[in-house]
Amino acid sequence: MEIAIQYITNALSVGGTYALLALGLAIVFGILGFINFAHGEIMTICGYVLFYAMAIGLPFWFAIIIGVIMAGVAAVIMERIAFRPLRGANPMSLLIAGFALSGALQISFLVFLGERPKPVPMPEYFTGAIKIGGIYIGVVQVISIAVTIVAVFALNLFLKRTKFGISLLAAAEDFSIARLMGIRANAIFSGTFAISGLLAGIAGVLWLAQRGSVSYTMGFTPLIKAFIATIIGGMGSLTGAVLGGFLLGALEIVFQIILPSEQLIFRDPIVLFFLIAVLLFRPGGLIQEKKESMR
Amino acid sequence: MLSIRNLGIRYGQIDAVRNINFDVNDGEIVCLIGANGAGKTSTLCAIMGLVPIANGSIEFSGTDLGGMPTEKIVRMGISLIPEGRRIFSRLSVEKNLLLGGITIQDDDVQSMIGEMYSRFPILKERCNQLAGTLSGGEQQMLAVARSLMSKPKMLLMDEPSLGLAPMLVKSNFDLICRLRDEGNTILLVEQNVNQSLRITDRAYIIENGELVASGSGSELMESDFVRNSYLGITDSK
Ligand SMILES: Nc1ncnc2c1ncn2[C@@H]1O[C@H](COP(=O)(O)OP(=O)(O)OP(=O)(O)O)[C@@H](O)[C@H]1O
Ligand SMILES: [Mg+2]
Repeated sequence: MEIAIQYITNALSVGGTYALLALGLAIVFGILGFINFAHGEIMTICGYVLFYAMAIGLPFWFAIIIGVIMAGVAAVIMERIAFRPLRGANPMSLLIAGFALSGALQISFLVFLGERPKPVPMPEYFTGAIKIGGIYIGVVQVISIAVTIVAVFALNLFLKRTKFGISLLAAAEDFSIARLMGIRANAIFSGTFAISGLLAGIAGVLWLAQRGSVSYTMGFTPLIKAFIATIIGGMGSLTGAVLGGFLLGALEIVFQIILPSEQLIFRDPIVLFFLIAVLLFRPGGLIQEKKESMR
Repeated sequence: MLSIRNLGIRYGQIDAVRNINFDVNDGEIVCLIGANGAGKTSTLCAIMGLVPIANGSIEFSGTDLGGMPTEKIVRMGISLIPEGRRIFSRLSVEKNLLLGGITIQDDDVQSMIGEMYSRFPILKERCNQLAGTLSGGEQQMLAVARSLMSKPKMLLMDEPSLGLAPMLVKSNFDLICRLRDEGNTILLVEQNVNQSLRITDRAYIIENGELVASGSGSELMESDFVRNSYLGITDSK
C-alpha cells in the first residue's frame, strides 16, 4: 500500500511536469500553429537564473519567482527575435527557426556558462518526506503535484474568465476572425509566448527539484517528452496536453516498476511503443480540435 | 465614405482582382455581385487588410487603408461579417458578443450586449450555449450581432444568405434593410441577385476579377445583360 501510493505520487509528479511543459507547447501550437522547438531552452534559462540568483545569495523562494518570470520574459524575447519576423511563413520554416534557436542557445550556454552541470541545491524542507495518514511521501513530489494543479487551474481561469484569455481562445479557433474583432495580433503573439514561457519556467523548477543541477542540455529530454505528450494528447488541445503528460508520466513509472533492473534501458522504447499503439486507434490524439485556416 | 480605385489583388501568380473601382456613400447599401471565384471575398478581405493590395488604393473617410493592419482598420469603424459566418463555435454566445465589442469602452460592452439581446431575443435565450450548437439562422444572427457590437460606421457582409432556408433569406434581407434605415452603411456581397437588386442603392457586377457592369438596382434589373446572365430570364423584347 505504502509503496503503491509512493509510486502513484511519483507518477503524478513526473506526469505533472510533463503536462506543464506540454501545455506550453500546445498553447503555442493551438494559437499560432507551430511547434516551438526551443521550448526546452526556456526551461534551461530558468534553471541558470535560479542557479545565479541563489549564487548571489537571494533566498530560495525569491530565486524561484525570478527564474519563472525570466522564463516568461525569455519566451517573449524569443518570439520577437526569432518567430515574429517569420509571421505568416510556412510552419516548417518556423519549426526550423525553433531548431536553430535551440541549437544556438545550447552552444551559447556551453560557451558562456561552461560545460559542467551547476548544482541548484534545494532547501532541506524540500528534499525530505512528510507523513500523510501514516505513509511517507516525498515533499518534492507533493509540491510538484500541488503546483501542477494550481498552474492548470490558474491557466484555465485565465483563459475562461479574462478578456485577454477569451481573446486567446478565439485566436486559437480562428486567428483571422480574432483580428477582425480588433484583437491585436502582436498582443496574441506576445501573450501566448509569455504564458508558454511561464509554464516552462514552472516546469523547469519542478524538473530541477527532482534532478538538482542545471546544464546546457537540460531542456532537451523534457522537450522531447513534452512533444510526445502533445502528440498523444492531440496537437493544440490544452486538455489533451495535460492528459498526454500524465499518461506519459504514468507509463514511465509503471515500466520503471515492472521491468527488471537489467532491462530498464528498454523503458523508453516500450513506453513509446504503447503510445504509438494509442495513435493507431486515435490518429489525431486523445482530444482532437478543429482549427480554421489562416487567411 | 469608402472609395476603391484601381484595386488589384494577387495570390502568387493568380490575379484574383484587377483594376476595380467603386464607391460606397454614407447611408447606402451597395452590392457586389458575381459568380463563384469572381473575387468578391478577396475584395472584402483587402478592405479589411486581411490580404495585401497589389495595386491601387482603398480609402475610408479620406484615410488610405493601404498597409494598415486589420485591427486598426476595425478601429476606424469597418466591420466584416465573413463568408460562412465564422462565429467562434467553441465559445459561448455571450463570449462571441464580448469579443465583437473588444474595441469599445468596457462600460459600453454590457449595454451593447443588452441591445443585441433585445434585437435578437433568441440569442439571449441561448447566451450561455456554445455558439457551435446554434442553428444556421441563429448563427447568422450571432454573426451580425457580433459585428454590430463594435458600433461600426460601415458593415461589410459576405454572402449572408448563403445556406439559409428561403424564409430566413427573406428575413435576412429585411434585416439588412432595417440596418440601413437605422443609418448604417452597408457593402453587401451576394449571389442572390434578384433580392439584392431590389434592396440595393447601387450594384457592381464582377466577373473574373473585373468590373463588367454597374448601376442602380432598378437599372441593372432592367438590363439585358443582367437579366440573361444573372437572373436567368431570356425574354424576347
Ligand atoms: N488564399 C488564396 N490563395 C490563392 N488563391 C486564392 C486565395 N483566395 C482566393 N483565391 C482565388 O482568388 C479568386 C477569387 O476568390 P474569391 O474568394 O475572392 O471569390 P468569391 O467571388 O468570393 O467567390 P465565392 O462566391 O465562391 O465566395 C479565386 O479564383 C480563388 O481561387
Ligand atoms: Mg466569397
